Amino acid sequence: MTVPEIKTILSIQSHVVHGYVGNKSATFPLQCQGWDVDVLNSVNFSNHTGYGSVKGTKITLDQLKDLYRGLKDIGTEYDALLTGYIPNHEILSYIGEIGEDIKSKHPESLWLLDPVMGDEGQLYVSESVIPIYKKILLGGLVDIITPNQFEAEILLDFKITSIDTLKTALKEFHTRFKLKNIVISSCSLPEYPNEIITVCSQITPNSKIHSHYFEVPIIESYFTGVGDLFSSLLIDRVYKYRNSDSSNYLITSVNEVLTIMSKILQTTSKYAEIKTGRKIKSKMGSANTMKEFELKLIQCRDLYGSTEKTFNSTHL
Amino acid sequence: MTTDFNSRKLLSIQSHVVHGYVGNRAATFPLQIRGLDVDVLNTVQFSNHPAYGRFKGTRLTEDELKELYEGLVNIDCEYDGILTGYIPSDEGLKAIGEICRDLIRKNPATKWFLDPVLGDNGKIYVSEGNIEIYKGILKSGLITLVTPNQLELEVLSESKVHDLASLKRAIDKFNDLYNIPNVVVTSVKFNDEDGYLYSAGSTRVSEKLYKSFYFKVPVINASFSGSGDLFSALLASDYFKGSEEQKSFTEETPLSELPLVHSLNEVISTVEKVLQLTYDHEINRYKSAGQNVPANLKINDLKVIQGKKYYLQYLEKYQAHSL
Repeated sequence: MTVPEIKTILSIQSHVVHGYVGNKSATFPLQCQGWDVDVLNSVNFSNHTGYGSVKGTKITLDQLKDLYRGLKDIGTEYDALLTGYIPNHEILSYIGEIGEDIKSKHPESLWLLDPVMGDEGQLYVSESVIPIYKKILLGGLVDIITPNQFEAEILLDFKITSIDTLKTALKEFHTRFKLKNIVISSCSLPEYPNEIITVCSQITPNSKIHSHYFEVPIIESYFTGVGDLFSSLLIDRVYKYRNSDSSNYLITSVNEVLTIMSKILQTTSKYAEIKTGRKIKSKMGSANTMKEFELKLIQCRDLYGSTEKTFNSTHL
Repeated sequence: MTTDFNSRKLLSIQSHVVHGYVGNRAATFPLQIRGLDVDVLNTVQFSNHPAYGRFKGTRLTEDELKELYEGLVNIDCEYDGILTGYIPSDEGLKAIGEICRDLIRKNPATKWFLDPVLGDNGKIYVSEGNIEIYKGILKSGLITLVTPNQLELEVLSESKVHDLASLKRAIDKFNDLYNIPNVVVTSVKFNDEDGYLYSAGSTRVSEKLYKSFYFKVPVINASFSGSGDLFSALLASDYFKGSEEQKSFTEETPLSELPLVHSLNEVISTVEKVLQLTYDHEINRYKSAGQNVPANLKINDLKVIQGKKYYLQYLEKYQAHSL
């Protein structure tokens, strides 16, 4: 029997005992897609913070350094690196070093960084992480970032208020931060008053920028772990498609991921409606209601390999 | 698409390693593939398992364990099953014992699947106190399924196992002492029989009456870390595969009608597939590096992910014999 070599990825994110955010959201879909995921947990919490009550501990800088030292001691190597929510600037800075270390051994490895800082004008990390994110991005080793509109604005120090400023933003990311792939997961612009758009932009080896957007149904914010799931599926698709002939592999990747995400959110909503016996309207509620909003990642386990593309991309 | 809106909920309390597949890392993925909603409580976070010879990381303190559990209680988590494995410290074991007792008190339908990890291959790696705590837990009447290996059966039943007759005596004594509805002795080796191992089970058919059985399976010539954790997880998942209704059994019930016989057969067959895949991969590695395969081959990481397809095959390759 021959066993194909497997792709390896290091995912540094939160862990929750109950529910699906951070590594609990990212790991299973990646494993279903055949990735050997090394799971480094940056926190060990009972549940995500949206429940209103949470217990657990965060990793210290020394513990993180120690764990990574342990991994190096046994000679682990990675084809990809996935990093998400990191609220502490010292930890973030060290994760930047981990990224450098992995890229220096395997320059062709793929690093997706989700610069989780806040949403809709609200910052939920310490301001001290902002310059660290900028420094990491200026290092030029990150292959894909997946900010939301607010996070993109923070990183660039200007507001995205129109198609024009959006284009400027993408150009800045490509040129100043030397990023090959940018996906702005949700963006609302006056030109599209009734829609949320997902923007993806890619720079070719001869410095041409290809930017597209998808109109997506508004992803309701009472679900948590959505961004973590999105970035895990995206890194799988980009890794798979980036060496294909298609110059627009990012569009294909994002379309597939959006299609899967939309089905998972529908399934989760349907489940929550059946369990609670009513249409879901508000985000806050009792712990028992919150539980019904956990992504149905296990029930949707047959979806992760789907290559269906149901969204239309438009040139920006 | 799977539209199973009533996934079984399991709490798995085991170790976590960043790299490799032992403890929760061996248990979680196969359980998830089988459709169980697993709450993953990690008792340690190590870079890798200690059998590598070196590792880094931290263990949760007793207080941290209790606090995490308090967090779950605060959001009203309830479970169909709890799976517990290797817990080396006495305080940790006590704390986890209390957690499980509390969960079962809150929801008496909760099943506790316990792997009493004490040691292996003749070597005990927990304290005397730890063994005593385990004995107390086993006598509590709260355990649905227990999965000792040969050494653990010997220690817990205080009787030696060297052939089928002594295996039977040890299981009988174990049943006498602990009265647990389902017992699986994961692997037993007899000195005079190379190339095979035995896996035995015992299921309670009525008050104080048990039916015991065994499977004889060819052994794969290597040692694997994490295979016991994969084994106990798959066995626990099988418990939820059948219907809810409680069938009644008697001494006359044939082996073929006992659910544990099918579960054990299935798990032996599935784990064997994963071990074989892992073994073949390792042999290929030696071959392609132009190296000889060592006589005592020690394999660090099970191919848990590549084994994905096996978890849904529910193979039953072996023949059950009465013990």
